[in-house]
This record gives sequence, C-alpha cells and structure tokens, in this order.
Amino acid sequence: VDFAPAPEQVELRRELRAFLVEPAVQEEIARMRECPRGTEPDPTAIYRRLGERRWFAVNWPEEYGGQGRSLYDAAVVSEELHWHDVPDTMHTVTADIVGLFLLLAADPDQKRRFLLPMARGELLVSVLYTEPEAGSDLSSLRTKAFRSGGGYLLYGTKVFSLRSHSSHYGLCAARTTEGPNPQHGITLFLVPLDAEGVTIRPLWSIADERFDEVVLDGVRVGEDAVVGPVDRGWQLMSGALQLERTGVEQSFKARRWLDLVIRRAQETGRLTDPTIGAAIAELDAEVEAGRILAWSVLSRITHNQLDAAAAAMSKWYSSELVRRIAALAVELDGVTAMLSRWDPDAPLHGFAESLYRDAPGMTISAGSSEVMLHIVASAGLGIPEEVTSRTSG
Amino acid sequence: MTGAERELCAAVREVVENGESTWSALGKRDLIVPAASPGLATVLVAEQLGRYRYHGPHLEATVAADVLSGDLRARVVAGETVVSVDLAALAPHATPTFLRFAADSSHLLMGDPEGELLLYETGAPGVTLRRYDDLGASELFTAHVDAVPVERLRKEDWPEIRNAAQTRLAAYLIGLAGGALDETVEYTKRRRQFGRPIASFQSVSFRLAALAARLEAARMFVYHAGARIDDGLAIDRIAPQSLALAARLAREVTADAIQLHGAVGMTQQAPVALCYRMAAVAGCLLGSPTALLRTAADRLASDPYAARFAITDHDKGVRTQ
Repeated sequence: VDFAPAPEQVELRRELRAFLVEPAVQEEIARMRECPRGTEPDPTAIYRRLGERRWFAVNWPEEYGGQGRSLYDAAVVSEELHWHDVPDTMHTVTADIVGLFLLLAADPDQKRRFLLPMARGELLVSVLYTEPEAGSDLSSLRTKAFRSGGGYLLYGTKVFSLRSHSSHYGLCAARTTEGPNPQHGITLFLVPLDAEGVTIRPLWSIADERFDEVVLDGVRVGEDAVVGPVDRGWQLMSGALQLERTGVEQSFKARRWLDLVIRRAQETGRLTDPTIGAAIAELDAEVEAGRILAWSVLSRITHNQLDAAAAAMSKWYSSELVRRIAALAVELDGVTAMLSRWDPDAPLHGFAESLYRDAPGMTISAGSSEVMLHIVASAGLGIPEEVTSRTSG
Repeated sequence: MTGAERELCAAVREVVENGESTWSALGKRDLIVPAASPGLATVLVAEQLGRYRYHGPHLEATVAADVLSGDLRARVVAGETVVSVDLAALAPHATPTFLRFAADSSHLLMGDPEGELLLYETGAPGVTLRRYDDLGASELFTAHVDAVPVERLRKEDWPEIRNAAQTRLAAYLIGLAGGALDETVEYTKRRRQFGRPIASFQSVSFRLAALAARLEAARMFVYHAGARIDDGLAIDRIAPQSLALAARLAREVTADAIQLHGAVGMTQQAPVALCYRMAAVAGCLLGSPTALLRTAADRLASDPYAARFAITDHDKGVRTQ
C-alpha cells in the first residue's frame, strides 16, 4: 500500500477545490443548502460544469467523456464534492455504479449512446435492483421481462431506489428465464423512466433523500435496451458490485461528519473535556483508519488484486463508525443537537439532526452490515460457505 | 505489502520459529531496527514478534537505537546487549518505574525529574533491581538507583522518540491480537458442537469477522504511522491514537478469543490465555488508552485544521480556504 497520494491526485484536489470555491459554484451550493423543507436540492447545474471539465466521470476513457484517469482520482472527485456539500448521490449512481456497469458490459453502440451524455452530467441513470421481496437476497427478484415483438415487456415493482424521479433512465434487473437456480435467468435493461407504463411514487424516508417506488407495468423496451448477455446478468451485477464496494464513500462521509463534530466541539470548548475529548480522538483515529483501509482496497483493485473480504471489511467498518459519530453528535449538544436545519438556533446548519436521520442508511445500503460480515467470514476467514446461510451482495 | 516487506516478515518468522537464541539471531540479521527503515520496517518487525508471542526487549531496543549513539547503540541493534528503558519516562503521565528485562541488561536508561535521560550500568554499585510479580510474567523490574550515570543524554527529540515507540508498541499489539484471532478462527472451525463446527454459527462467525475487520483497519493505521516516520512527517496525533486503538483492540480480541475457545481457552497452556495476559500488560506499558486519547484530543484541539475536511499533511498542502 502506498500511503502518500500521488502528485497528480494532489494537483487534482487543488484544481477541484479552486473550482468548488468559485463564486458561481458557491452560490449554487448555498442555494442547495437553503432549499425549503420538502424539496430536494438540484445539483445538475454543478454536474454539468463538472462534465465540461471532464471531471464528472474522470476515470472513464477519454472517448467516453472522461480523462482516462485512475479509480483513485474518481474517489478524489467524489470526496471533494461531498466535502463541499454538493449532493453526490446522482453522481455516484450515474458515474460510479451505472457507468462502471456499462463500461464492463455494454456494447459499443450503447456506450456511444449513453456514456458521453452521462459523462457530461446531462444524462442521469438510477439503479432499479431492490424489490419489496428482494433486498439482500437479490437473486430472488420477481420483476419479469417477456419477449415481445423484437423487444421486451417489463412487469414488476422496484423500491428504495434513489433519485429515479430525477433520472432519465434506470438500470433495471429483471428475470428473463425461470429455473431452479435463481442466479441464472436475470438480465439487465436500460429503461427510459419517461416511458409509458412507468410510475414513480415517493417513499418518504427519515433521511434527507426520499426513496422511490418504481412500478413497471408493461413497459416496452427494444432489444437494444439489454445490457450484457441475456440471462447472465447476475454474474455482471456481482462483479460490478465488488468493484464499486470499496468503502470509500462511507469513509469520506464518516470523515465529513466527524469533522463537523470536531468543529462543534472546538467551538464549545468540549475537545478538552476529558470524556468527550477522548471519545472524539478515538473516533478520529478510527475514521482515519477507515479511510486508509478504503484506499488500500482501491489500490488492490487498481492492481487487479480484487479482494472481496477486504472490500467488505472496509464498507462495514466505515459505515458502522457513522452510527457512533451520530451518537456522539447527540451527546455533544443534547436537545440542541436535535434542532433541524430549518431552525435558526440549530448549530452548524443542524448537521447533527440530519446526520442522525441519515446514519441508519449507511449500514443498510450498498450491502448491509450482516451481508458484509458474512462475506468477511466466508471469503476472508474461510469459514465454510455451506454451513452458513447463503446470501449475496 | 511490497516484496521486500514480505521478505522482512518471513525473515522474522523464520528466526522466531527456529526458537534458538532468537534475540541475537534477530540482531545478526539486522531485524531489530532494520537499517533501511526505522518506520514501516520496524513496525512490521514488531507486528511479527507480537504475532508469534515473542516476549523480548524489542521496544526497548528501538528506543535505545533512537536515543543512543556509538558503540552501545551498535551493540543494541546487533542484539549483543540489552538496554532496559524506563517506560514510565515514555508514558503521558508519571507512573512508577517499569524496566523490562533489566536483569538481562547491560545498561538502564532512566528518566529523571529534570527531564534528562540518564544512562546507568546495570551492574554498577548502588543499582538494585526488584522483579515485580505481574499478570503477564513480563520480566518487569523496578530499580533503586544510587549511582552516578555513565552518560546524560539530550532530550530535545524526546517527543519524536516517544511517538515512534508508541507506534511500534501498537504494531506489537496488532500482531498479538492477529495471532490470537487466527488461532481462534482455526479452533472454531475444528471444534464441533451440536453436530457442526461452531464457526458455522453466525453468532460466532460474525463476531470473528467484525474483529478481523477492526484489526485490519487498525493495522493499516499503524502501517500508515510507520510510513510517515520514514517520510519524516509528523505523527504527533496518530501515534498515541494508534497505540490506544491497538491496545483496546488487543484486549478485546484476546478476551473474545478465550470466550470462543470456551473453558479450554482459560487453561494455563492455552496460547490465547497467554495472549490475553500479554495484551493487558503490553497495552498499558506506555500509558492507558484513555490517557493516550486525551493526549490526542489536546493535539486535536490545538490544530486549527482539525475540522477542515480530511486531516493529512498531504491535504493541507492543497487547502484553498
């Protein structure tokens, strides 16, 4: 593991920070910070500016609108966006999750059609995997795709999707073949979310970002909507999940939140309080450890040494820290910490209240803590697979 | 890990497993404070020694190598002699004098209230040792010294020496915990109850997986601190943090190791029982985790960058606001 960032990453960070503090960009960020209750901030203007500079998907090949840079550089972009309060969900989903999937599995024509506008931050694509009865056990999904007139008809319900209501397409996993092996017979489709038969409804959550329920009721897509080989989507999904699960996102979120706790503790003189100070110093160490672990996973992927157990450790470790950071943020200010960002007396824009609502999602999304520990136990510690319950990403 | 780092670990393992006059063998092969790297390489050596439950004066030798010069330093690094260091002088708060391996040492390195470091010959008239009876059979001594020091040493870089020592002890504890965890994983795969290996129960496997993940993160953190020593970067905050994390984790891992072994883990010959005892003593040698974390909190409080994004020197160089 190389612990010092390469000079080109330091330079990229410098350029990004210069960009993110430009007055026009700061104005956008301030506007999003102050968005009224019940509305969601719209970062697409900033996404397009990032796209103009080929930063939105910085690790993609140049021909698809990226800069052909490393996964590290992509992580640097995500970190800086998050640390500067630019909502990054749609960026992560479009560039890192769907984009990675398309780079791995799409045909040349799909790559041309989708990747360029995605890299410009103009075409946003959400993920439609989870269903009411298929969460961690994703291979039990029930959404079906029937062949019909040179294409497919899709029927099913997807839930807990993020930002489908603001996206143009959804990457949808559906069953094309029934059989005894649930992992066989799944196919991936790029579904236009404005197509006839698509209904998107909000599933309000306690976190700042709502979930969507996306009902597909006979949605017609062409043959060209199929991504990768028919019936063999499961292998692709698992492979892509392993590449995107590094813990980097969880680790920079933990860093950001703990930094806010530290700032608040500094303001109130509590850092030198014996109990609070020691608790913060311990979490500060663990958050840094989580970051180093996450970057070491990235390093392994870059060197083609994908290590599923290390990746699961990393995701589990940093996401679990967030719960403790949330608890500490509450400890620090008591009831005052529970004032929301819409209350003028809330410390630091009500970060603690927002963090407290966001924290539970960290250990559920992108692979629950239980699934992560299962992967660590089986792939990492070699505890026999057949005697533990079978779960997937 | 690079190839060279792997070779280093393999070399330490070979020496320890050979079992004969380990300390001098380590010295002969330049494995005590590898000349190439006082930071990461020394951290890796310490970790390996912990992993194999080697109980020897490595921490003392690394401190002596940082403090001393000339012939005595050369002999310490070559494993030819032992300098016992008063670890109380390295702890954040005053504790009684704790000298490990004093009976085997040629010299004692003691702190004094004036803040100097004093070097004594162990066999000099006026030096009397008393061995403590302790939990870990740790070769802990206290000394009564009424003698003239052979040398008074400068102490300007004492904070750096203390930081480096904390990092190396952290690595030793990570190794100790790692060895205990491996032992436990293998045991729970072998041990059958209710007709199946106990590792196959999620209450067992998840506990092991969580400890493995925390250990891996702490290990990376300690390596990071070691690498920073080699790069000449400050570790004022992360050194006490790394030791606090490692010490708490080592206690927790070794306690869970006994739990998952059941009563057999409490038998005197059980390796995990030895780890449990060693972890408790080693984990406090340079101050309790809470005391170390309070030191780190003070350093956090005086760092104006503490709450600004990621806190690394590399990042500080590119701050724009």
